[in-house]
Amino acid sequence: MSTTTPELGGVSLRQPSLPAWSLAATAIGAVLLTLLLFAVTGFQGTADFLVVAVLLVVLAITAASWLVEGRRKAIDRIATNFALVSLILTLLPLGFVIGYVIKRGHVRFGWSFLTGDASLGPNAIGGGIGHAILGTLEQVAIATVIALPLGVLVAIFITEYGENRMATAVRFLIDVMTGIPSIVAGLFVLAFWIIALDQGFSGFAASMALTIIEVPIIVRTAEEMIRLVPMALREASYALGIPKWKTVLRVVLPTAATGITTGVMLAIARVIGETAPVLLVAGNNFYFNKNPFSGDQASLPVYIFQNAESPSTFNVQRAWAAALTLILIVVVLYVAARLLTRRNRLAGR
Amino acid sequence: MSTVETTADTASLRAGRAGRRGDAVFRGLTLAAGALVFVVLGAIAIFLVIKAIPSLRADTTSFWTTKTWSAAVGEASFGIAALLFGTVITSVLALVMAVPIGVGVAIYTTEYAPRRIATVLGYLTDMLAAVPSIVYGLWGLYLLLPHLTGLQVFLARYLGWIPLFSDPDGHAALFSKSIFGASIVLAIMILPIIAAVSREVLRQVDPAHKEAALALGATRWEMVRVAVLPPSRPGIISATMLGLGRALGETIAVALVIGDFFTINWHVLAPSGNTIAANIANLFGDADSIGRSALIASGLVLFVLTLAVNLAARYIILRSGTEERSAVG
Amino acid sequence: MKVSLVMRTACIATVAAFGLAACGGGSGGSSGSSSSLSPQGSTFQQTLEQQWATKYHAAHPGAQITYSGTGSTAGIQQFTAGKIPFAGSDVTMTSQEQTQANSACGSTALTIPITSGGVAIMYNLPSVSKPLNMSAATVAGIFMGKITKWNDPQIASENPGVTLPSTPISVYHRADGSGTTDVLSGFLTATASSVWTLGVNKEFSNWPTGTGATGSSGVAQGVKSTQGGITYAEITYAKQDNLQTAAIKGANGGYVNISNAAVAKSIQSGFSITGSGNNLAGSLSFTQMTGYPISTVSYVLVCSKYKNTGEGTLVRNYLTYALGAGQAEGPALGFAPLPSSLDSKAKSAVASIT
Repeated sequence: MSTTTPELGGVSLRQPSLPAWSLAATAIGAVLLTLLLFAVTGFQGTADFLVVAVLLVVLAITAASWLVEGRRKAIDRIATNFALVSLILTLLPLGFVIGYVIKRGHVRFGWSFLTGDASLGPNAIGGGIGHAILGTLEQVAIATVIALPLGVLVAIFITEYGENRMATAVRFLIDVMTGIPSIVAGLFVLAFWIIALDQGFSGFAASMALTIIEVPIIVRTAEEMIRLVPMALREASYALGIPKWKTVLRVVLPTAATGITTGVMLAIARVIGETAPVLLVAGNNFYFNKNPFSGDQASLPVYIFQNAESPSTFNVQRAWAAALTLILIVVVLYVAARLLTRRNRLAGR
Repeated sequence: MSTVETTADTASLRAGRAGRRGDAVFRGLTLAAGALVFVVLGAIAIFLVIKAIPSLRADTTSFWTTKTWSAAVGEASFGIAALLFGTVITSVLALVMAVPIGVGVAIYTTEYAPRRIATVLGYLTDMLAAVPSIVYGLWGLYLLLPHLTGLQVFLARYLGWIPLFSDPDGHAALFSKSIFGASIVLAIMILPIIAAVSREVLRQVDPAHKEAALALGATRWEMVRVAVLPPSRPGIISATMLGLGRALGETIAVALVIGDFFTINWHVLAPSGNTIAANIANLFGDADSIGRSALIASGLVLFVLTLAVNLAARYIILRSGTEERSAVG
Repeated sequence: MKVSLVMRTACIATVAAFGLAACGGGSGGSSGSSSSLSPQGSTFQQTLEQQWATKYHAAHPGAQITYSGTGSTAGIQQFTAGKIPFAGSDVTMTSQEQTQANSACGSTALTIPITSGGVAIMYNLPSVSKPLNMSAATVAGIFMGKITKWNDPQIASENPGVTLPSTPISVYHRADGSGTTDVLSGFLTATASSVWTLGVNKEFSNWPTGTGATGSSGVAQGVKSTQGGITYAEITYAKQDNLQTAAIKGANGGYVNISNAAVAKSIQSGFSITGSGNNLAGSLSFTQMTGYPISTVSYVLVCSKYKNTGEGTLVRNYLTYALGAGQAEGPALGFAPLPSSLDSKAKSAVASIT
């Protein structure tokens, strides 16, 4: 408490607040109390201990705050704690998953692993996933090149030109398709492209299935982001005499760009790990197939799926290394996308 | 006030006829895109209905109430009861876990965290989305499930008075291929979607409104509650719907961690449960023509479910959205 | 500005992609050629096929063969649609499928046995060191949920002198359709139909007991993590997870451990060819298997004459290797070489492929 407390008519203007050391003190107290509890009752296990300790800290600090600082500030503290706990609960699984993948995946990881193919067979210690990486990159790239402009255009159609029945029908269909099990998309491509049109298995067929999965995600996200662009911006643009199409392309889309990028990233992350549809229509290949339009092509998720369940230990190790590779590829794509769209971000936001 | 750099050059002020032509072309382009999507998705829907009919005709028992799944030619008797139950309950549980945490993280990232940390947090949250489904399934199977038995026993013992968590047969201690386990894996999978989209939505809130609230003496939470969340509600609901869509349609991850039980069991901690998508993944490879048709029929039910939930969400958005947006816009 | 440039390039790329797809190499028809094959089918023979493909490629660097285990049914479907050069299958084709295959091939489709193997009953009981003896009735009882503890009198009576723990039995069965389930249910229906009432099928949704898991490694993992767990899968998974396997009562009345010799003996005694000429489809009689009684044969489905002669030559050469030197690759992976009489019949059938 400072000595120069502001006053007005004898009443202190500064609200009472908990001293800065209160959080640390409560934490220590809670830990001690939990230790006592665990010694006395039948609780056991480190996870339980942490959970109970954290709960006690939160409760204690909230109670103290309520008493000392008043209701509004106490609720504010609860909210802050809740946000912090959410953060921890998000980062924990991340740590566990990534940690586990790294732990199991680093064994076979390496340059020859990233560039080789599976021609050495399941029981050899060598061998790699270069062919699968190439396949996945080609398939997802083609899928995204189709899905991105298509998705954004459909989102614009729904939002900017959306006052008609066709737009409602499209919106309806997109909503339904966000829940499509990926294997169904694969089935469709299998039935139409491969059997009815008598094409063979190919990476392009997988791209088609992946596009079907990507488009609803991109449309939904883009739609939401475009809607969030304030009407005032559009009206200012029209007031300057700019035609609608230019307004959309140069005002609305750039404003929504970071959000749309997030949507595209989510879509790519989703499809890059899809096993079932790709296996159905692109088959599998132990060797490099650079041509996505002809012939079976390997892909990372199919590789992981086939090898993780293999009785050969080396195959299992390679599967986890491939999983690590897949995650790394997506992270690199994310970072690249964020760097690219940062230039479009608006000042002040 | 936000500063927007519009690149409207004065040349386009004189766009006139060229501008109108551009408008027509652009409108045509978006219409074509919409039509393409309409045709393709419509074709998928029709294709699925056609494929599903043979099995429904051959089904000897009621599709809606039968729990078991036997789709051999000649004696098809299959039903969606257990699968639909499993799908709904795993998705609901996953949403219950993921939505508060996802929105909480989004709020933390946009409102509480310092700028630099916020960027890093954004990357980290997005990394959860970078993990492919198959990896989540394998991780769930090899790391999560063996360690989950302890938590399940804890919940059953201390929260067992809630019917959902009760465990009459004492099975929670066994290797836990339970609805609860599958829901946790699903929750982790949809968390980044909800968090990322919510974050983008929250970022678009007009700073002037936030500053106004703070200037009036609101605490940070009150500011969030009054100025940030209301205009973001439709966006957050959309984020939730995207997450739900993923949860309903998640195939391989669920197939690996759920136990393939064709029963309706409310005790989520006991070995229990199966979902429509996981069932399709499991049975598709070795199913004959009637079998495949039956699986597709179950996929159609999933669509109807997705549609119903999304329509409800859009209705909610419509009801609340117009009031909020006209205030903000 | 930046956005429209992106969109312009994307539009061009899209059109280009579709254009390329329309004209460029969409190889309609079978995914095979004179230098590469992509067969599919049974997961049971998957590890062996992949080993053969590797060895064959090492000896013939121009040949690229990739076998994908998508399931026998999927393999048959792709084969009868003419999409793959040959399929691996644990079951023989129905007459309808045979007709479809014949028309897809443009010639008679042949069913040729390629390898054999057993389905091991594996369990997790660290306190018991010797393999447990089990009769078909006991196995059926366990998987039907009638026998629920390891120290059940029925198991004890078949294992005198062994101290059995009172651990509950945790059954793991396959959630996905599988030839292994087909073989086990076939065996139990033939030998213990009073206890095993579910019939023969690749997949059951009405297992009276136990937890489902996807894939052989899934059920093996389940057993590995559960004391008292039991399941059925190919022997390689037992080896991989260090699980013990049971000795099953054979047709001779003795309890037989799973081994390549025991499986080969069963195929010799229990497999009979029902097809004619070069079509070597056959049937298994579990009650006559004097070796390890839960054994099966796995086939390849091929065309007798291929439209693309280069493809036909590659298939023939590859399968000749598989039936010849390739059989020696089997034992290390848990497969039993075909009995020599069956093997020579298969070889001559393969020799007729063009």
